[in-house]
Amino acid sequence: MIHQARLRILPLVVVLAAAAAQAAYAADFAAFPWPLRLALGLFALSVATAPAYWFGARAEADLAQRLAAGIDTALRRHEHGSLAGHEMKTPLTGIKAYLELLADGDADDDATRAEFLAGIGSQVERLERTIDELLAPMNGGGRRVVQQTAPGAASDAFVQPVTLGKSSSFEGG
Amino acid sequence: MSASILICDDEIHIVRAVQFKLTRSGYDVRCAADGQQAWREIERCPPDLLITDYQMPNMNGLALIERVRERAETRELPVIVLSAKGFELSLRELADRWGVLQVMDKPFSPRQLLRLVEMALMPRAVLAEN
Repeated sequence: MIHQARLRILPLVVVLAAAAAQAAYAADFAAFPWPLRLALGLFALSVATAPAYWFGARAEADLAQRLAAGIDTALRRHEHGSLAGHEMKTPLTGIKAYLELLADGDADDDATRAEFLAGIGSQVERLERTIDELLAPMNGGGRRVVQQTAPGAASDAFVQPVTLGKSSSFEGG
Repeated sequence: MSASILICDDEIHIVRAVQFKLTRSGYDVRCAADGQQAWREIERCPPDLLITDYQMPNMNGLALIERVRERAETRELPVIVLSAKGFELSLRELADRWGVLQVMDKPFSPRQLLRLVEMALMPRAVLAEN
């Protein structure tokens, strides 16, 4: 804000100082009262220093702008990383939990085992979609979509990549 | 009488796996899909232990814990937090200010969670036996 105010007012200062210097040159400078001579001297000093001041202000403004942009980018990267981490860890948790229950023999009957396998399959698909979402910007906006080989079967986890389509938003969770 | 545990998470598969593991281990398990639903369950019948996700719709885990700590009947309720954003949470604040026993980072192991639950409920069980 301060930098922008300085940038706006400086051209006016330069013009006024140049006009004052011109007036002093045309008139009998020594005959002027001392306050007027002092004021004209200050104007002349402004003319001499204004370019450096103006360029300095512009450099400061540029630096401030670059810093703000850098901070903004870092924050957005952090948010994106945080969101990506959350979106990947959530289905991983389901997969890990179901696998552990199956490995420990906690699922006593076929129905429960099939339920857990189907859960693993759906979470694998979700994880794939999330990874595609994350990689989409690097692949020119396209994404890989998956198709079930046998809808409803426990083998839903094994899916085939088919076509490229538009990107969709992250799932909640 | 088995200890009652309330699980609160908006991820159905996580709730299902945790519920299965804890029920199989003999606990009386109730489930809620968000903080508001969990709070209604707590008001209806306070559990012996609350396991809650941190990031949820309607009311998040921290808001739920705040409510739990504000109410006299549930002020001492043991709480375990599940989170996929563990590194972003202030664990000290959760422990010191909100009395959270432990934050379990996702992906977690149901086996480890069960051990933690047993530890969290052990003093009560021992007291009940005496």
